[in-house]
Amino acid sequence: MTWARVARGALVVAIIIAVWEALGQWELVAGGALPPPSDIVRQFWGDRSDYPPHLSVTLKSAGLGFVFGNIIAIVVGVVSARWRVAESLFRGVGVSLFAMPLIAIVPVLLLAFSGTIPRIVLAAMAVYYPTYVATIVGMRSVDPRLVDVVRVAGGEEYAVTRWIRWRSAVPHIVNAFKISAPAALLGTLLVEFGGGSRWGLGTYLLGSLGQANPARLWGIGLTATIVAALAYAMFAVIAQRLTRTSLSATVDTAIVRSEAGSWPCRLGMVFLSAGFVLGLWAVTLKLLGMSPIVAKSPLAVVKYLTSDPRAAATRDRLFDAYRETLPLALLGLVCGLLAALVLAVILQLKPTLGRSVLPFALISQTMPLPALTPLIVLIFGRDVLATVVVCVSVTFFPSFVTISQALASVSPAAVDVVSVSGGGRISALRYVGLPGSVPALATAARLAAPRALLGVMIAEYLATGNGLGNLLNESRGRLDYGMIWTVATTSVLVAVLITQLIGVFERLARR
Amino acid sequence: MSQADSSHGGALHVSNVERTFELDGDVVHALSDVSLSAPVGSFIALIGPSGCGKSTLLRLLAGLDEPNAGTLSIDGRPPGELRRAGRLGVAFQDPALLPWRSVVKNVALPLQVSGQSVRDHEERIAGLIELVGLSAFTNALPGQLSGGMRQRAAIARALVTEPDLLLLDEPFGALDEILRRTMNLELQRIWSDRRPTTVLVTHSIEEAVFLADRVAVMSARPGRIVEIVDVPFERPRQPELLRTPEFHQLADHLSDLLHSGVSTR
Repeated sequence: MTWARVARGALVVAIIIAVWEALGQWELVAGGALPPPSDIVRQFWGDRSDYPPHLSVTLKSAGLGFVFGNIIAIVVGVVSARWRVAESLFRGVGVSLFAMPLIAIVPVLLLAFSGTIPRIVLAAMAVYYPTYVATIVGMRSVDPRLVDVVRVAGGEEYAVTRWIRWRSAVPHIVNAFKISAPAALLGTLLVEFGGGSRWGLGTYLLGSLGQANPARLWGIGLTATIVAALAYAMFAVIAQRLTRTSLSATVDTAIVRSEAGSWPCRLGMVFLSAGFVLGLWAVTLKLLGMSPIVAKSPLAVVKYLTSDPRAAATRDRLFDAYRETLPLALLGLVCGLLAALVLAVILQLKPTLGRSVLPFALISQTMPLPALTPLIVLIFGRDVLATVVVCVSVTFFPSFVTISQALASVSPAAVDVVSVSGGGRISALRYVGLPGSVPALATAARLAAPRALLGVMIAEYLATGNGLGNLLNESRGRLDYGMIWTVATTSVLVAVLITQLIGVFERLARR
Repeated sequence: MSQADSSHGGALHVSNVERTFELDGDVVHALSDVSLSAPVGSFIALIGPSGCGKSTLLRLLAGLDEPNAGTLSIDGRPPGELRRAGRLGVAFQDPALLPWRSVVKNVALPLQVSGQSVRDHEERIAGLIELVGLSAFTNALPGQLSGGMRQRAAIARALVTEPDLLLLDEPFGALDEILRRTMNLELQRIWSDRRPTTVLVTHSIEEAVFLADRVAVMSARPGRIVEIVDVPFERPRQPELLRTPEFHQLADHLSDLLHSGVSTR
């Protein structure tokens, strides 16, 4: 049974490699932009002495960012799980970090810090949100029966936290690690693309871009992917083990809903947590002791956009960039969601076919986007198509997981109703599955939207030379610090607004 | 109040207790004018149909919930005090073992929570595990045990602090009839060892009569006590008791009370 599955998996891999080899050997894709695997391996072997110094620097930065980001996320998560006020206060930070296109703050980090610190900081920022959410959910969604056991033994909230909550949260947190480990690598690579130091996988890739050596680019891209996939697999195995010994079959895992409360009260909390983000920003600049010419406070950004003599021209440039970037991000998001929906439906109708595609979908999730983009550009050129492909490749996986979970969790009784009246799988899907998965589609859109924006910006930054990504690049070249900070700030704001807006639709769809 | 106190307490007084819940705007009377008392070292059984508030009453006695009106006391103090002093033992309907802890560590948990040293009580823990027949499974995780074994581990855990008041919420509800009878015998044996004041919630008339000194029959909507019946049989009670006419007479009487309680609603 399992052996048959392994054999089938090996066969699928062999076929794919064979087809790839053929496509590459006869230069069938984009005039040789897709090298055959044998060339990639040969090139990798030739470059083998280049890899260790680059890889070790990248791994060290990503690893440090992973550790620091997770420590902060867990501490803040524990505090937030315990006190609602803290949760409201930190919500703004969490939402911003979740929605922000990481690349937008790369220039800011390069201004503020030197050496490998920007890489570590961005890796930490990329890691924060999944772990933070998992900590809160893990600490809160404890089995109430276990809480009662501690309470009747005379324990109060402190004892519940010590004996139950901590241990219950561990599997949730480790599960988040498997998502945040590839994210740490992504953050590090993004900063390495921003230039600066001599070593790092991203630096190596950037340096190889102009060499007309696709095999080397593929070697670097695949190396980054394998590292990310290994990190993912490692935490997946640990999480599975932990879950087996820590969640009995009867444990309920209630999803934590956001708190209710009156309108003015909630609005107040929104302002409070937004103010907290701005305060954090201003205080950090003060603590770093940066010159106000280079480091712009929240107020300076507002001035730059309103009362500065060139404010009107600045605003025009900014709006032009958004007019180029946002429609593409939307297009990419829609394409990614559609691709996810189609594959989820196929998986539902032809489970065997779906199962052999699934591992590749999983790998696509761990692929570090910056390492992927040059390869996509090689194949698809430097226009809209490449950007959309980048977008699809980053939005596809989370959407696919969300949608197929919704399709699979349709109540068996409802499917029975359809089959009793003579309908097959397709009718069941049409009348029960698809209508039931509309809310999941909204959720998928909310999760994928920030990734779509990030995808477009990376493509613009590295390849197409349009929109926000390009504006960011240009401003760095011109030392236009005001614009650098403005792009960073507004893109976070826009991303937060978009996700919140989709969130409203999501809540309506769930009614 | 130390654990070494040989003359332990546990005198129970419940008078005119009311507990209401609000469900979608409707007020549900879970308990209405409930009064009950039990001297130190007695065994009370609560029987009644589903929804009669048995478990609610137990949660009130455990100090996990507060009544809307009326008073509960244990040795003249509110139940929460007994709970915080670590002198309460509870076995729930569900064994609720910590899935990441072995049997011995699960049994030790109440000691840890009440800040007592586990090392000082190793003998007692081992003794309790032996008493419930789990000596061969000391280091097994709950996932590796059968339903009956988990339930026995939960009972050992309820007894580990040598509580003055033992609350049992249908601890054998999920077991089959044969295992249930065995467990009833075991429980009697374990209980006789130290005789904490015990309140047992159960669906089973047979279980109630076999184990208790007094049986309180409850009815649903609103949850109230219909009658309290004394059980005169000598201890230790043997399985043969289940086949005597006296036993059946009492069981039939309780059964009538239960049904009248349902029909007069």
